[in-house]
Amino acid sequence: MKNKKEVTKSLFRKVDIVELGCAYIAVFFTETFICYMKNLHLNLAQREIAEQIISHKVLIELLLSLLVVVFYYQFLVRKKTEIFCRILVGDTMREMTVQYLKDSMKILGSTFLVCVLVKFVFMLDLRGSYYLLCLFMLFILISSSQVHRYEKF
Amino acid sequence: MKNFSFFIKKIFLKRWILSITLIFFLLSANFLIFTAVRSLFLTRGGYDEMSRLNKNGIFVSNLDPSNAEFDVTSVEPKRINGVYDYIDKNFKYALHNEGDLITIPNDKSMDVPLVYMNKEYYDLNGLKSKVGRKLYFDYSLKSDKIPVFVGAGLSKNYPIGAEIKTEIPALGRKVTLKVQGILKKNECHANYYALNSMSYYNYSIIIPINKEFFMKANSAFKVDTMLETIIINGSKESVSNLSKEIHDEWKIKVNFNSQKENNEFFEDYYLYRMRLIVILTIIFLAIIIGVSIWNAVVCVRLMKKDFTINLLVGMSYKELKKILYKSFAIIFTLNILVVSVYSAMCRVIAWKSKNALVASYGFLGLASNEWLGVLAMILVDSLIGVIIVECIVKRIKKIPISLGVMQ
Repeated sequence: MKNKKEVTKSLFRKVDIVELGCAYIAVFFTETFICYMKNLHLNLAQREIAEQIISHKVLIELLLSLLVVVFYYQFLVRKKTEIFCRILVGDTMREMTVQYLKDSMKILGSTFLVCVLVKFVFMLDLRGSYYLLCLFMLFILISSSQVHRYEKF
Repeated sequence: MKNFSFFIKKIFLKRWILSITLIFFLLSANFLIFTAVRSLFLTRGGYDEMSRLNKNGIFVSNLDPSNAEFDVTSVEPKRINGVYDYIDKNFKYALHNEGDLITIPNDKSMDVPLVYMNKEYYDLNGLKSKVGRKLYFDYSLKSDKIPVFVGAGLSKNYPIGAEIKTEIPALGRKVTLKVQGILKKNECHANYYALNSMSYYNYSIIIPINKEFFMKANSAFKVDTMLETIIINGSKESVSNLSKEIHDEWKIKVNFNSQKENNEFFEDYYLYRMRLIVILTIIFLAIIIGVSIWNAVVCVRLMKKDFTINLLVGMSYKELKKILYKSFAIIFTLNILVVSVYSAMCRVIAWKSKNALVASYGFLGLASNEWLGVLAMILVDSLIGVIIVECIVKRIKKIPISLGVMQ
């Protein structure tokens, strides 16, 4: 019963969770794959191309993290009416923001854990994933401040 | 035009985060195509140059990786001449060495790289002067001036017939060089193990070496040059004897790769590399197009109302399509300009760095293979543009007008 209540409280629908999860996975796994490439035994031609990709690692990750920015932006714009209606029926802004933060962190946390697990299995450097985690937490905090913007319709 | 500026201001820039993200993704697609085409053509250049060595009887020497730290100055002079005499007596061979730099006055104040080669290497390499006569090798160091070719960049300061008095590091003394010919612009040499970079001869001096020159050169130069000898008329047995001779004299292992081994190298390296570039570019491009379509669909999702209201008050789907094509054409033109200017800037930086081996000429800042890159960008951008615009219009057509207005 409690679970059901929580689901209805959340701004996230199943489709949103899948979409956001995919965006996170795309970034985390690209970073993991680039780390994995460093440890692979490659022939000369493969190594040269791999080096080019590795040298552009930060740029590729930042470009892909734009997917997460786009998701949060469009998500909050789409939820404008829902946020306003929830306030009309008695929900508070604070509760909604906390719930939004909790849900976002849950999705981020679970994709991050999967990524760490994969990295652990392949004995890869974890630093890159931590940087991404911090970056995404920053995105979530910034976007949570945007929830307030839709208090008034 | 009025409709177009309205669309840009009220629809395109209304959700600027989405528009900027789309521009970034499309820019990365353009960079990818440009780099891939340039790499492909550079690899092709390297392949063509290497295929001249892919003939029966040609063996390319290669220092065994186990002797990577071998010091060229550690060999005694008489032991060097022993190996040289052995090669000279038994084989037809090509010698080539580059790496020495000299300082002579020139318009860009570049340090000038010297490229040494013997007649066999010159014939094998197919190096031609744009103006001037053929390079000759039967000069005498005592009485004659050394005939040389100079790169196109040096032609202003050193035209045909000019004399350059300078100290040559290989000989360790002053000699007089006489300009015999001027190389054509962007004459270059592929770096066998880093095909994305070519060594350009625009500010180089090509110095012919004959037996007398070689004998009078310093020991380090001799060893260094002999380690990269190309045997032209060898057999498996004869080169293995040579390898043994070098091992006995210098205590190092030198491998001579045969045509068959070179063939394997070609397959493993050049052709495989070209295939890899094409496959990876297609995969990355597919991902970027997919993400851009997702971004465009998100855009439509957020702006259902704006689109449907505009359609309701008289804008037709045809006109909408036209506006969309126009805006994408502007984005792509800007992207192509950014990539081209970036590439031209890289060339300017190469010139400013005074590194003569990377300084190359280009038309409006771009070399010929880069212009092919621009052409490839235009073609692929048109394709991406059509795909994205058709997706957007299809999506908009699916929105029932009543629902769009009510939102």
